Amino acid sequence: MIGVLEALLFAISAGFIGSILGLGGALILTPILTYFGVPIQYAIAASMVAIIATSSGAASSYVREGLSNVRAAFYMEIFTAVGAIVGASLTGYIVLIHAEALLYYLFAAFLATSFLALGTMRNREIPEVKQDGMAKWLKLEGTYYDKPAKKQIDYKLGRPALAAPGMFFAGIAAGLLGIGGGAFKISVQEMIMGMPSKVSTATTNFIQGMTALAAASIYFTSGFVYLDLAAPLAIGTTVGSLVGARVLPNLTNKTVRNLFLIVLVVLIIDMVWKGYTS
Amino acid sequence: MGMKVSSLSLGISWILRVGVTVSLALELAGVILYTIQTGNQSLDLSAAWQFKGGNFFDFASTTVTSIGSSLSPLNVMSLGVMILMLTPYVRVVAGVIYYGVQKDWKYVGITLFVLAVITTGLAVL
Repeated sequence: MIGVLEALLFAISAGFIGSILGLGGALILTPILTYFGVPIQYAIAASMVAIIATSSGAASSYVREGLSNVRAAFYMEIFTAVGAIVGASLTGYIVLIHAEALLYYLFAAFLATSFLALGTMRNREIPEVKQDGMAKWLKLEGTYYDKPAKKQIDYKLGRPALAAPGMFFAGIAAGLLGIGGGAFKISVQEMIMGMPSKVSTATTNFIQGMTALAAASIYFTSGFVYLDLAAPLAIGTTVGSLVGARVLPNLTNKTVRNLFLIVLVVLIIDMVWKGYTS
Repeated sequence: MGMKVSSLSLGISWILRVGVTVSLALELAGVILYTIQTGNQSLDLSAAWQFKGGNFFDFASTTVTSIGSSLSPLNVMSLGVMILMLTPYVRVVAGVIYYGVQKDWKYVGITLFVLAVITTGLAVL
């Protein structure tokens, strides 16, 4: 078993990578912790508490710079929060019936779906969107300053009704596996709503804090939260993520996308290997 | 950069920044105390470090009452985690208030619903 200082170090690295990619870091951290003998449900719960800090820390910069779409975020939180509570309750049930192995396989499967979706679809710099009535009613639009392009970019979002079940599913996956569900949220926002990549990463970080709180509340009641694990993870992932948030505005959407794909490939290989050997 | 950011965004950014900074400072203090007291031993995943038998609000009241009597690593970390979990909670409350002042009833409804879901999650059991 690792000590508090190792937990802190792993968390710093995971937080940095996670923040740039909008993943929240837990996707990287949970496989590392279970590798060192932390039971998966405790890794999931501590990661979830850490995600609140990671995402909120990164989001504080994104929101101030106008990169996060706050309106769209509140709308989507309706579905992610309910989903997270359902998902976290499922984790409690899985542990209760001693089917923890299922959590590993679900983790790997979830990674694979994010990879497939983003690998094929995440190519456009600025998507064209035709707004439907509901999107207009919810006033889903925004503007942000794109540093590499050196200009203000206005955008409109569409299809909020279609995004709702996607966000609900993202919430379930997040609550179930203690991950932010960032990859899935990003793909729903970009592919369904037509959100620009950088806005989508920034908005996902914002939503993540609420999704994680909803799930963490259930883990708390289930007795999965260990404070000596949650504390170093929260510090480490946040410090790492704050550094990442300073780097992100200077990257092009293409760089972010390519990095995202590389990390996903590595994690999928890791989880498949772990499932195979367990 | 010369672009307009709403006062809600600025307020939320401030809430997130303060909440995360204060909670992490406490958690860091807890981790330092823990390391001084135990050395860098293996993580202790025993019942002493786990909160059991209640919901978040029970945890919060236990934390607030016990921090006064002892600044143990556990109590300091607990206070940090408590403030951390209250941070997104406070920012959704800020959303309700902001949209209320703006008389944007659609978004008052949306943020109130999110608040109700989170409160239910924190108060179960």
